[in-house]
Amino acid sequence: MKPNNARLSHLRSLFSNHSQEIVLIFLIVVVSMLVQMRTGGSFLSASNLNELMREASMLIIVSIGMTIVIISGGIDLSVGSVMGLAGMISVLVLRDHPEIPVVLIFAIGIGVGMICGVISGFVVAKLRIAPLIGTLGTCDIFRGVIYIFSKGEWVSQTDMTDQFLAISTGKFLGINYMVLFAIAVAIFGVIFMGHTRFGRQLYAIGSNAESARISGIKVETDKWIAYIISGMIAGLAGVLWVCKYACAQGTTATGFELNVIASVVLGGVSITGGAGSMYGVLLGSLLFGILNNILPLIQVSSFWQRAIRGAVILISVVINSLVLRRASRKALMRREEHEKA
Amino acid sequence: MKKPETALGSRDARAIAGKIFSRWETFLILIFLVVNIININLSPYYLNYNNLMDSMINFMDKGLMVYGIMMVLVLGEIDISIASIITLSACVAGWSCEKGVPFAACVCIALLVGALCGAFNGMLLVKFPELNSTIVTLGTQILFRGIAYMLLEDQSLKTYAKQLSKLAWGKILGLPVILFTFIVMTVIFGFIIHRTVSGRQLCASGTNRTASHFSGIHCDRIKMIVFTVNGLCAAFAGLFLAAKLASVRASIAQGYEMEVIAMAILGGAATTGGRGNVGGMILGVFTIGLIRYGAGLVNVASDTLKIIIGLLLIIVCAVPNLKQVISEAKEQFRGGRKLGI
Repeated sequence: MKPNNARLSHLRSLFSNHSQEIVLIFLIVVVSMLVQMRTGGSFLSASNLNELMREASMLIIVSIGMTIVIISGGIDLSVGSVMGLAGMISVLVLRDHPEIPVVLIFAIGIGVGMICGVISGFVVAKLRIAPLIGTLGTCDIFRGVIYIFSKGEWVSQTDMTDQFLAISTGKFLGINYMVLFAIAVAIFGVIFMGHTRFGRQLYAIGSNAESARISGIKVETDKWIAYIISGMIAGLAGVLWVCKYACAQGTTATGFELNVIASVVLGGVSITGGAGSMYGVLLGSLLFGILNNILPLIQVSSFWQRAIRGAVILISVVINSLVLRRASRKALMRREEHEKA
Repeated sequence: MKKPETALGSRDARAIAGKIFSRWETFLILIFLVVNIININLSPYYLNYNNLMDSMINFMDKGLMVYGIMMVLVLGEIDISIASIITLSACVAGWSCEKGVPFAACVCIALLVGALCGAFNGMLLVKFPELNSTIVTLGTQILFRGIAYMLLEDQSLKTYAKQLSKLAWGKILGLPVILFTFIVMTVIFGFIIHRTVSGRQLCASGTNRTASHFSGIHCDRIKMIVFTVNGLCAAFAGLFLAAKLASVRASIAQGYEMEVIAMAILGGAATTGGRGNVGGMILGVFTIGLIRYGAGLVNVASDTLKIIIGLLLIIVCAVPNLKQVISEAKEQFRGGRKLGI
């Protein structure tokens, strides 16, 4: 009797601790099955899955950077502009010097993202401006800087080399390079936030900055570094974006930050910081990517997609808070029973 | 004998001067004057009465929303869905006008839709107090504009907007209608916020929600009303925007929320709540509006303007914090010296 009971309570705690992940996996499976039946098998075909993952990989990559910032108690509205800027500058370099190896182009993109992250982090952590407002400002600034570099021009496919464009189409071990990038960043995110001292410090800062400071955590520096990491990841995603769409323009990735924040929230990360898991974010951004992919497949008019996306965000946020409420009420009841006994 | 007295006197004078200079409005007036002086020197056409009045329609539609967003900020919340509320209310009104509903009813529909959207935001936040307003209004922002897209798809409607054109180009008492409306709104909101009990209750519940709850203030009701009024303001501004554009479509007013929030923050409202007054808002609206107008006169590209406004936002938010940052740095330095580091 007893071991069975223990196993049951273990299972119960697993459910209550990972409710968000379980709900997300359930949703992904159900949605995929429904769409698979509706489309007669074209959803789970290799070519569509490849396309879906290529599209979703950028969202996953940027979501991981955003999660690091949000868990530390901030928010980074500038990632869309950082992506645009990093993509534009790296491709401008490529256009003028086509002989540069592709690795260096990516390094340039990540470097640009890092500089942007340093600026955003300085504004938020050192100047103590509310993150929402500070990164709103840097978002405008970076977007303006794109036009200074590009002078309003586009960089089109003809200006890019074949080796560079191959990154978005080429495969290694049957997996697209972009997906490999996403996997690499995801592994980095899971290890960084879950298993390093620095990651755990960010959780502490997010849940209570003042007590973190008293416990000897360098709150400002850590926050700053969180923004720098987010910027570098956004820079990488910016180069991938330009690579995938084979075109860089001033409006690249405008408003992408809202998609990213939406998928982070879908993944169960608390927007006020301090709580949330990387696995949840991975599943959340995957679900968001799947939604983007299936709506055209099941012939939903493209004009409806935005409303559906908004409704999904609202419903998931509300369901999440209802689940949390129920869990905390149950915990309270259990504690009361425990005290009585 | 006399020495201490004079020392005391000068200290008093310094304290008073310090008080004046530490007030936000003083700094704001300085910025306002600097902007105007720069503009006058840049272009001889700046101080032309007719030009100035004609420029009002270009930025005053955002000014009409600033009091709504200010009340939201005073509560310590934020609303990034206002631009979508403008769009949705204008689109619904334009659509019903096309279907043969009389013009006056259409205007009422527009205002009603705005109020309903605001009330929807407010209801979500009151029913789920654990949710953050950023994330809720992010969801409704996508949802509202999505509904507008569902309704209008990619068409633009003219009948409704054309009947509004008097709002954009008409005059009352020699002033453009929109400026006259802004003045009327300023008087009304100034009276309500600074001179009535409910206005003071609003500020109190923004400063300390728990304390005001225990003092018998209905915080939830206030929140609901504030968000509804905010939606109404947005719909009202939507009338003028539709009049200015002479057509209605689902892509209007994109990015408006950021500029309105920038105006409110520049005007002295704080995202942490409890701070903000009508006088500051007037200066905030005119400072950003006149920067836009002056920059337009000397052909500054709109992208460079983005950088300027972003920088201004950051500088303005950083200044009140600077004193604290510097004093903390000094303390750290002193502490380090004491320890012999």
